[in-house]
Amino acid sequence: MTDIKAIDKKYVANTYARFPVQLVSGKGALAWDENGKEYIDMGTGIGVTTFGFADEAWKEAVFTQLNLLQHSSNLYYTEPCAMLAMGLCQRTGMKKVFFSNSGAEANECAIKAARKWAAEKKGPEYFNIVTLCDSFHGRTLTTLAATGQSHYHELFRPLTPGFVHAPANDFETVKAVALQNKTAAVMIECVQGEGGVIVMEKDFITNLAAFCAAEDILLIIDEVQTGNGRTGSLYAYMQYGIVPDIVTTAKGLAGGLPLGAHCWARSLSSF
Amino acid sequence: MDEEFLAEIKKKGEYIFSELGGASGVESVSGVGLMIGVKPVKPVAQVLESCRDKGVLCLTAKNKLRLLPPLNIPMDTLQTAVDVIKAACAE
Repeated sequence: MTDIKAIDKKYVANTYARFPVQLVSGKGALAWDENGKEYIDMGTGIGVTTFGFADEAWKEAVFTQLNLLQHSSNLYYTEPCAMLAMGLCQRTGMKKVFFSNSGAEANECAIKAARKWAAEKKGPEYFNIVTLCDSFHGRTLTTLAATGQSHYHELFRPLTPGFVHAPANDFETVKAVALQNKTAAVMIECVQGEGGVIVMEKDFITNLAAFCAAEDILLIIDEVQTGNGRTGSLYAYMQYGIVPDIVTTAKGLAGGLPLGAHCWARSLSSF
Repeated sequence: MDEEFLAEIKKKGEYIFSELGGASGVESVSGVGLMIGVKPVKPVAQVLESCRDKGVLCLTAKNKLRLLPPLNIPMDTLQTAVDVIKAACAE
């Protein structure tokens, strides 16, 4: 039998701390390894395979599209793109969607959109974005800078400037940090996944949303892990009774296809 | 993903909370819906490995076991997984 683990160790970058299991197949919440051992999957590829492995409705949707077009570039209109954007907007009240390949890119887009908006509206010096300690927003150089965990930053400095971190569930400090810096946006997760499954308190988020609205600072909610039903509402922010300016999502959005989305609540001609 | 389906997610999450909250070897449980962190008394790596040996694949997040099961996981499958996690924390 081909030793996949040995080939992987030899040829795949040593980036991952792999578990000593080779997954071969799955069905719903069950998966089987190379020896036929059965597992119950309580990880869903870190919140990606929302409906389990090889879900029938998911497969049918993917196969149907595969038989039509697998890619067309963004130079053409296609039905899945337009219909998903409409569905997202209709179910969230957001106005526009930008699609990407991953959650990190969706967050990168949110950062760029916030900076562009602030540069035009408030001035180019308003480029700072406040994020929370123990947050996780991605592994690109800029989303790494947004991520409020310094151990991820080691050996990758200098990072993209313009990010300041403040403690989670501490509204007064977040407010003070946002006011001390020329701030374009505050970006948070409603439940910090990588940070240790830390739930944001209702008061923290409602106070933050009111403060951002009053100060004309954008509120970006990163729903890459919390979104698409994971927390029992379509998006986690919906449980807090607020409307963010930007929502980013990925993972469960496509159940295993590389897809991210950035949803924009404000009607601006450039977006 | 309609309201009924979303309500089921909440119910499954509450089931995990009620089973693991205060269980032997469990320090605390955090999270919402089917995004749950379980802080075991013993090192999380040991619990993760024990669960895997017993046929349950979990994740970690810092010093917690992180659970992100499929949203449509059947209740009896979820019960089996929770029993394994409970035993792994207690042993």
